[in-house]
Amino acid sequence: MRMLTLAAFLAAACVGMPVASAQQVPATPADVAQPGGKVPGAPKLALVKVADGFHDPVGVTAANDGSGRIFVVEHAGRVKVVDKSGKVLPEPFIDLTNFNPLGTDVQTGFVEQGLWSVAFHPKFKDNGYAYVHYASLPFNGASIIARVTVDPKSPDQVTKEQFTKSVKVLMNIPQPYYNHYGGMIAFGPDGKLYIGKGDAGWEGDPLNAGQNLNVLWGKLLRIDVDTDDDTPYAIPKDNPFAKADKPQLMSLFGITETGFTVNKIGSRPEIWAYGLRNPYMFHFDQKSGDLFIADVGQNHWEEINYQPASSKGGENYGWKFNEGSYCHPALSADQKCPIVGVLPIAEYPHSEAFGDGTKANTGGCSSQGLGVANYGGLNKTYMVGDWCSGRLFGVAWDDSAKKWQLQEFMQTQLQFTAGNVDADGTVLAVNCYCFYTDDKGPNANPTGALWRVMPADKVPTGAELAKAK
Amino acid sequence: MVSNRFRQCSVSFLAAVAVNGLAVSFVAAGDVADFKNPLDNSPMTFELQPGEIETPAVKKFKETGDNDYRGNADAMADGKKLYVSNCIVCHGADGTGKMGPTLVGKDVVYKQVLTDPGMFSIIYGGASGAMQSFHRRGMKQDEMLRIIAYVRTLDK
Repeated sequence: MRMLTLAAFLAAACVGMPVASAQQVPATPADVAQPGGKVPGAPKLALVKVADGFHDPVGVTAANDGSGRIFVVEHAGRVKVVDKSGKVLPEPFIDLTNFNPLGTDVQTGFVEQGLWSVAFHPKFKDNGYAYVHYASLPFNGASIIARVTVDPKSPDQVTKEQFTKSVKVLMNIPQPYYNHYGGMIAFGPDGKLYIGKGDAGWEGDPLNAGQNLNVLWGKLLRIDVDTDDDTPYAIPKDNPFAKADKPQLMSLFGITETGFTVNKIGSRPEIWAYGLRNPYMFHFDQKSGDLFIADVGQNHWEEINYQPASSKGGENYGWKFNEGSYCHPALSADQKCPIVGVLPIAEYPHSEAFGDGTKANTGGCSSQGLGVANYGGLNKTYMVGDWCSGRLFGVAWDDSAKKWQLQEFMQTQLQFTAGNVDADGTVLAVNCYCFYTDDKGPNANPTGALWRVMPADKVPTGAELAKAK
Repeated sequence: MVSNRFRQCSVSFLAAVAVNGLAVSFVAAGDVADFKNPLDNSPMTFELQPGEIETPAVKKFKETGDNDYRGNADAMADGKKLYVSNCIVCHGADGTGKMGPTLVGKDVVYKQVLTDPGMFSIIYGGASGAMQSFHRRGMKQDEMLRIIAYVRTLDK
């Protein structure tokens, strides 16, 4: 009895400990923010064009080497460099379309396939390691995560010789369907590489990948890339399922109930979080280390997930049992079903909010996280752009109301595909003219652009702004 | 079978009459004011595609806002084909919206959709996000007028 009390006391003390972050993950669907909220301190915003002429830009990453360069990912398999002055260098930084003498290495047959992301090792300035994630043509559309080493004598271009010489493949994840790959890869504040991996496609997660710990699909993965070159990667010891699958002798009826909570035979130790549908974009707040994930929804709801920097991983975000805080399939607003795992902090509907045809003209169809803003009055505000409706949203904790807020900042003509933060913390966004119903191919679509999200009163004179209302 | 077909014809004939009636009431002097960008209301210019000829219907439409293809069975049949290949995925077969918003009824995202010049401006130049410019996609202005004539028949 005394021990129990002590345990309860310790538990309470532990829960109370991370005082630094007052945010709470919603406990009930009513706590999940929906459009119509107000982000505290938000100024009027504007999208300022940095550069254009990119062929289907679908990813962007700022250099972490003090060079001020911004790297824009082109769908077909190229990474372009925008230098400090805003000039786009003519030669790509990385070109996956020409190092293989048989042709491109990138599968782009469907609009969700292609090169998605480039990430730089935390010590990139010293080791020159850059990482890419793309759909491979030779491997029938499998996800490839590979590292290349930049030659310091050629910092703006990895030649095909250098690419071939230095490339190290870390992961090759087969893909059964041509959609829901996820895409983004990024280093966390802990120096580990995080990988957004979709549920492997079709619609409605027919493989139940989101909930299946035995597969890498439908997950946020976390790996340690700092290994010898003959080892692709290592499992961080503190991954939530790092030891769940350790070899052990079989002992029928010998596992305790507590044992079952940690022993998940067959679990993939790379998993950090699960129950995700298509986490194409996710971002760490550079200030707090907290993580936001924009999980693209099925037919009706887009969701934004959050975990504090203190998270130990293992969160289940509910797909395919839930879509946002609603049921999946989402038949109607008053439908009842269990909430599985952790609720999102925010959600917004498609034009049809439910299968019963309920209309919501404030909707979208595909949430792309852009980055966490801490400027211009914004405080830890996750910026999210929608691919279909051109809406720009912000999600932030409102400390006076003690709840999350989701505010639509503007509606633009842009199809947002991706974003990130610049070296100075400014949120960047890219847009394409690529869409399911209008895809002429990654090199033939009209070109897209790179934008900065800025407070309207800080816009330089003469800057080109995105049309917005 | 024959009688069914006959009934369909007469219904569409009645619909055409009703739509024509609406069109007359829409074509007011202020109508052409809806030739505008839906986000910031800036004025539009409508460039032709390389080799595209400005048809009499398009020419008259730009001057008066009056869409001659409304109620024109051939034009509306063309409009339906174009709607099926270009619009149906997002706006649905009945125009009430799917991935994209509704095109029928009064509860449209952009009020200018209620007039033909307003809808034409959006098809030509795009609205937001995935509703991108069909001019950029290579569509001719005469085709846009035919699509509009068909979409109006969905508005029951």
